[in-house]
Amino acid sequence: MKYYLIFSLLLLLAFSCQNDKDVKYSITSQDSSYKKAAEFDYNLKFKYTSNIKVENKIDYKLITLYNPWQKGEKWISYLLYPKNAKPDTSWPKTDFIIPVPVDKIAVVAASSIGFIEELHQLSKVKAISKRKFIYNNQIRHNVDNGDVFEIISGEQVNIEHLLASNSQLLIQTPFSSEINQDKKVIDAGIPVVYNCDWLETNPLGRAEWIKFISLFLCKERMADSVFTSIENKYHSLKNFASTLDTNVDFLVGGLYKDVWYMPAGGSYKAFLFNDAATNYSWKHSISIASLPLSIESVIKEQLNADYWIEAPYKTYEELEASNSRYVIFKAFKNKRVYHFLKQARSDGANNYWERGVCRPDEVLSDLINIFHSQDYNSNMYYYEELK
Amino acid sequence: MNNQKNYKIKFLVLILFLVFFIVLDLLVGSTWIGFDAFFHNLLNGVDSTANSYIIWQLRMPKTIAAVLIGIGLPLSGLLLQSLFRNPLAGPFVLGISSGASLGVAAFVMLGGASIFTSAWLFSGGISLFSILGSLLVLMAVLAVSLKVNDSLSLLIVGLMFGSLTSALVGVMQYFSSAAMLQRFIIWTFGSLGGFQWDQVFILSIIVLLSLLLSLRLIKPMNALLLNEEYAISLGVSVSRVRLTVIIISSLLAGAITAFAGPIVFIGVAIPHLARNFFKTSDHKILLPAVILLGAILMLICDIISQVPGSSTVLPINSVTAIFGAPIVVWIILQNKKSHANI
Repeated sequence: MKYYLIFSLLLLLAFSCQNDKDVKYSITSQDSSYKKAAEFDYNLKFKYTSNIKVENKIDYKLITLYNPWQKGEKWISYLLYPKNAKPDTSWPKTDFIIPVPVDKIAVVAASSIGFIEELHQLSKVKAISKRKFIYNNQIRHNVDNGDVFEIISGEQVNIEHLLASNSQLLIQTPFSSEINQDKKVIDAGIPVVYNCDWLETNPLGRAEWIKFISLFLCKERMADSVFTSIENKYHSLKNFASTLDTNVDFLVGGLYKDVWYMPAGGSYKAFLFNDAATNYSWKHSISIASLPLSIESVIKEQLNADYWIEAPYKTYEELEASNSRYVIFKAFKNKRVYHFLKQARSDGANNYWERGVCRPDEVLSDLINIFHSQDYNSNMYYYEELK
Repeated sequence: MNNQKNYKIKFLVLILFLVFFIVLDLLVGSTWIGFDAFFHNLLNGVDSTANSYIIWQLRMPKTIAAVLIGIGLPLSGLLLQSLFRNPLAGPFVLGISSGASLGVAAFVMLGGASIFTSAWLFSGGISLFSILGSLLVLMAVLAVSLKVNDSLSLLIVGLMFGSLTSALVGVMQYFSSAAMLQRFIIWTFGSLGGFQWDQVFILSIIVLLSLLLSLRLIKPMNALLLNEEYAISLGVSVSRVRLTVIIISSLLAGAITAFAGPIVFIGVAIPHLARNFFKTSDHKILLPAVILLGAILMLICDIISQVPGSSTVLPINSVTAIFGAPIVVWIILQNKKSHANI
């Protein structure tokens, strides 16, 4: 009888401690009167990504993220309402309720920095993963003078540092649809915004996530304008490239031991290669990730490829020293090898992964410059010839 | 007399298999070269064609490396199993391979790599740190072996060193970036395809030296099979034998791990396969047996890892584990069965 009572008490305790799973985050109003941010009612449309749906209601917005790993499945929902307004209990239940625009954000995904920079909102970044992972000068400077916190410790978010930064939300990169890894952040009252740009296979689809980020900063109109400009430049370059000779093959990346990882035909890089008017050897592979190729296959198929891009070193001497097998490739012999470390720091941070995600037009321009230099000459943004 | 004839036939069969698999390993790869082109390039030496490069600079060093590793790891395994009279003893048991992993982990994940910004220093750095790591553990094990005059205690100490180094590697992994972690994990998969002729040369010297030293251990190892006291009564210097075995194992495990990454199971499984095939524990038979069987199995694993006809490559460690683990289980079952029949 005694044990039965104790067991019942424990059960009662367990159930009473459960959180309301439907509403992960909310705040109470600060002021009974409010003014919506000017762009709150702006109607954002997404052309290239099908994983985001935005519904504008009278006093709030509903954002639905669809599961990138399970096509068509609803994954996470956000309800955004104007800051200082009072949340209404009649509003639909969502995973997160966030008053916008937010003033302080924590950012783990490097590409989000690129989006936030284009929206001129860098001053709102109060926490980042680690300084050495971020290229942006302003962010680095802010870390040095203590205005921005580093919150990643051993690949996990350090909750104490995150709380100390007073961030109102965390922009995170998900690697699966399971969000339990961020449970501690959510339980601490900080909503998590998942930036899934890296899962898009269309470079413009990746860049379009700037619109998603803008929703939390009330910069929708600006994001739309910026993206439209990027889109127009991209298409202009693509149309120009389509008039050029496509008989160009090239190597990408480098060897690790006897395995050469190259972008597969379904990847976003292959998309860019196609738009740059090339005849990439592996374009017919359907994977969206990397192909682990044996060096034999690479030699057989691409020994005489004209170019080599994204080589892992900045000089031919270093490249040869890293693996003496590289010297047999025609691209090496003819000194047509390029790296993409032009805007990279010595500790590894590379603006290609920040601004480059937001600016596929600049990346495309570089590629056309490399592969069709006789027809197109422009300033290179991310790529540079090896010395 | 019958036994001798039996052994000769079995050795002949193994030698023929070895030659067959050497040729097959050279013939088979991710790309099909064709018999005519293959033999043309083999007989006419190096030229500037892709086929010639594939045969002479990729497949030839890889095949020789597979043979050397197939000799070195089982040899080390046989000596350690006999010394410790433990069927699961192998190159990993003294923590030497774990020490090599620690060296590579420190180099890749702790930012040791950032010191060597020059590429040639980086590629040599992995091998150098691997050898340094295994030497560090070797020194510790040697120091302990001088104080502890008991093989079982030494085995336990070796296992503890292995656990310690693995724990340190775990801590480094925890604090590393995803890129560094990935680099280290790819190294742990093992690889024969990265071998170049200078590395093959160095490894062949180490394996040859170890073989020559091992020949002198045949009689002492046979004596140790019963127990250490019996061996001492026969005039065997057990401490000297122990030291020699540790040095040979460390050199082999350290060098092989440095160039190819950690290759699992071959060292433990092949000696058992040899004992079962030849039905003997005599090291005069087992020594050449493990060399031949090890080389053959390593070549088979390499052929499989090339996934013939496909442009992808499997990690060699996965293939050796697929082979090695069932062999070890089979051996345990066989031993249980023979005990039950008694």
